[in-house]
Amino acid sequence: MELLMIAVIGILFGCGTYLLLQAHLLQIIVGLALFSHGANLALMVSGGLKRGGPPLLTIGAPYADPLPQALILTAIVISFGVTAFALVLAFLTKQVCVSNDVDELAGG
Amino acid sequence: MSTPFLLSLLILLPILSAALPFSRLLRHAVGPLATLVPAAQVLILFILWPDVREGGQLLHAWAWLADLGLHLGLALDGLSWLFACLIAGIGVLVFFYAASYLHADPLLPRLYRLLLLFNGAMMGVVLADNLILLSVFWELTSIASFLLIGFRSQRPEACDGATKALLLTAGGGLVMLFAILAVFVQHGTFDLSTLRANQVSLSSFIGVCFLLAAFSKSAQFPFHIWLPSAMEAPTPVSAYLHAATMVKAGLYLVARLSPLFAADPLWPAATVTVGGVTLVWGGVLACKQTDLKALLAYSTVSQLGLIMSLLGLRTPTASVAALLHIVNHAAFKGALFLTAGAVEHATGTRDLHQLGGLRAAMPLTAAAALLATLSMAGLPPSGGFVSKELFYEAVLETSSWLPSVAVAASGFTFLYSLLFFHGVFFAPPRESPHAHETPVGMLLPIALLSGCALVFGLAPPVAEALIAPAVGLLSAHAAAAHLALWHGLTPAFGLSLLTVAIGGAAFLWRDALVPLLRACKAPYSFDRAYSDGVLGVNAFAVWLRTRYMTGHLTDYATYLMTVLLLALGLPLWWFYRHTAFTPDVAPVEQYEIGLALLMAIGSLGCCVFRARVPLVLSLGLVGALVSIFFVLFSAPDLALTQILVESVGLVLFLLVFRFLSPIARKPISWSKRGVQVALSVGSGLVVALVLLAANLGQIHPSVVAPFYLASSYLLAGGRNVVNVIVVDFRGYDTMGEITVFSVAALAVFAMIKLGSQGNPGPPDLSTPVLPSVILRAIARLTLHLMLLFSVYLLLRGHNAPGGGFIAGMLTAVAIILQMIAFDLRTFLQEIPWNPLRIVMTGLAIAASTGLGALCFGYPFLTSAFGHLHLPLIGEVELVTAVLFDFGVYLVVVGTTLGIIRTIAED
Repeated sequence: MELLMIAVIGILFGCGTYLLLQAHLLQIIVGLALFSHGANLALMVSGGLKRGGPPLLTIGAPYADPLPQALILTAIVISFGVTAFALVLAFLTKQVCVSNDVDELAGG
Repeated sequence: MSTPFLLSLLILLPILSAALPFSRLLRHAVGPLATLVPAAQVLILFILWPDVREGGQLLHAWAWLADLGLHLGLALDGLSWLFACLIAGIGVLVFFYAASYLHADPLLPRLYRLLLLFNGAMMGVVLADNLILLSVFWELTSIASFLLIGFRSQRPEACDGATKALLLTAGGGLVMLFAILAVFVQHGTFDLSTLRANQVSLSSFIGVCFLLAAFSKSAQFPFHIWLPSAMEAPTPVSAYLHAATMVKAGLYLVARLSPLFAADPLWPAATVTVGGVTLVWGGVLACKQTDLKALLAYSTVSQLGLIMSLLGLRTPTASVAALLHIVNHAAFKGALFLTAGAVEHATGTRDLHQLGGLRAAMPLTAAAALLATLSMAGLPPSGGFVSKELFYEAVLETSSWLPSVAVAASGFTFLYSLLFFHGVFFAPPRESPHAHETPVGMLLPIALLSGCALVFGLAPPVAEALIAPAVGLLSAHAAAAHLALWHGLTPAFGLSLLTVAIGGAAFLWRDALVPLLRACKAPYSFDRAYSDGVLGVNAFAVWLRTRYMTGHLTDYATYLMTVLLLALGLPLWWFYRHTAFTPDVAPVEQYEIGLALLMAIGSLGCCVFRARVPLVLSLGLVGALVSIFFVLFSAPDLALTQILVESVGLVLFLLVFRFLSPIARKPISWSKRGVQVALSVGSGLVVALVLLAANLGQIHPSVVAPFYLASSYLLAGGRNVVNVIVVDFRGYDTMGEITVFSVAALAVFAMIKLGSQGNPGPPDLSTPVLPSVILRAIARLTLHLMLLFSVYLLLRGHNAPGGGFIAGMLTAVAIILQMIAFDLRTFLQEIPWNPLRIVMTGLAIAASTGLGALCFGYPFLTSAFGHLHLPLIGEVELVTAVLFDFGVYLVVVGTTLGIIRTIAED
């Protein structure tokens, strides 16, 4: 199972990298979003994967490791903030510089 | 006064005086005041003379960076003392001379500042016992020389000369630093005294590095090219730095380090050869010059070569000859440079073609110059004669090819000495109406230096007293030869006669010989090689820059990714080569493979789609699948948060992207596309391999997880461990996180509201909306249900999936739904509060629950809890952490709504 997840994470990072290398700001933001998905899953995998054991003390052991989950929880919210911020930046870039193509912004 | 204090004063006095406010307050007294500094140095050296006279050494080290083995070690022995005397003594005369030479120049204070700085640095070079300290002072002299050569900075030649000198001498200094580090690596010390005490013998490689530094500093072939170009400096500077002191730093270094290379055959061979070549080459070039200072510069090159080769011979006679000639050269070359300055001062030119017959106008100067010229030509009764005799004696002892070289070179020396003196004072007089005798302020130093040149010959014990403490340090058999003007009819005297004959004949036939020499032009000179080298480096830099600075951000992103991949990938490759492990893999369910495939499709979709709606939907698909994976892997809180964030994010994307320009399909070269794909595949692989290396076969059970699981209920009264960690155990994190999150809302607000201040207009609320009746009905119906549910999620968060983040997101979704279903105007009427105010309230609540704990004497963010039974709802914990969670809830609601509303309004 871990192997499969690792492959998935690899694909997420690979596609994220490809998008980061593109010229359009929207693609770059989507690339960042894929990165944060990949990073969250990577945290999850690094804590070990466990089915059917949510860390709720009402259920009974064995539990999944709660620490990565707590870390990911904050990470999800932060990355939402970052995405929103980046989107607004892109929006302003379009308004001020007319284009969203980073190659056209350079040197101007 | 204690001797360490006097030692440090030798260096500190000039450097501190350089900071005096010469240009403001002491404008008119700058010359005399500055002259006091080297005069004080002379006094100090006189006081210290008894300590070094019998071969003793004064050594003192101040702690500096003791952990690195670095001490500010200063040492004064005979050799240092000799050089220090030159620096201080000639310093007095040159400082005195400069005041008259540049008396009306507004830049005079600057000149003195730099001269003082140089004086201090040069003192440092000869006094440093610590090699690092030596290197620092060494480079400082290069910098002072650079600034002094470029003193007339409006002249391009001055700037070029300064740059050339700096590149060559500082480059040599850099090589020396390398050698010093190599010494430290091999012998564990930076201290010369320790190296000498341990009788270390250093390797040839280190020797070559030190020699390169010495050769470049002392203008040895082929680094000599900087010295003639350095003649752009004001003449006192040329006399001081580029004849008497700085160029001798290389000689000092060779003399100082010679004992450490006693066993090394390369050291003497290289020194003698390079010195010999420089001796002849400089002499030949000096005869070709028409500019007085250029002639003297090449003559200096030649004389430095002579001393260098003498130092390489390492016999007692050679050592004495070398030291004596250092002193002699400082005297006569200093005098001649100052004479050249006086001549230029009087006539306005330094060109031999335009000079002549000045003996009538400047008789005293001519007399002084005659003495100095005799010394340079090696004629009795001057000091130059004594050292030339010793030179011949030393080369005859070695009985190899050297005597012939020595005689030839001395012939050239004789020739250019006569050319100089005859050309200026005797040749047919030219029109020089303003020619006048040198003013006393300038004449006095010339006369004193020339006088020294004479005294060293007439009364050799005077020179002997100067060099005697140093002789013993240079050669082991310290039989300090007794100097005398007349040695009898020795072979050396024969060679002297031969020299005079050759030189005299050459002078008689000068009208044929000198033009012949001038006609010989090498097709390619070292000067050309230098300038071609500099231009080449510049051209290469420009070429490289235009190659990689494309102005395209995507290219720069590519460089970044490439470096990152290499930095991560190479250690990984090494790791996998050296580690063997067996993957321990849990079984995979079929539907999980399906989900993974869908995920791959979604991510690839993000890459492929250019139309914006499919792009955003693909991203949504990935997000949804991530939350499904969270469900599968026992993380209900994460799944809830993720799916809610996804919904809000989708709305955000849809709101914004209609304002963005469409993603154009740009023509892109296949190679660039190939690089992008390769980097992407590479980064995916690297990440996967890192995770594989981190996980498989070596998952360590989390150390803290058992603690959290065990104490979640006991210490914090909560059963949802994830939530307890977020709001209690790691409350600090969360506090920071919601602060960052609210800053994002503020920033969005600021960017949009304040950024558009240029065109203020009321938000366009009349955009035609197409409200769907069904959506409206559902929205109305669900609003209260969703709000109620979010309150439930918030309250139960401590024990079951839920909590501030999730509840906040849900509330935000409920309200955004209203925003979509009804037009913005209605919405704003219904919910008129400012979201930013909600954010601030939330932050305040969260912070005050933390502070509340402080009031009870607990650390910040400690929670207290109790349990309460409520009808219908059941057991409710009265945990202060719930209050904290409520703050989180408000922040999330406020921020999310703030962002969405700000964008929607605009």
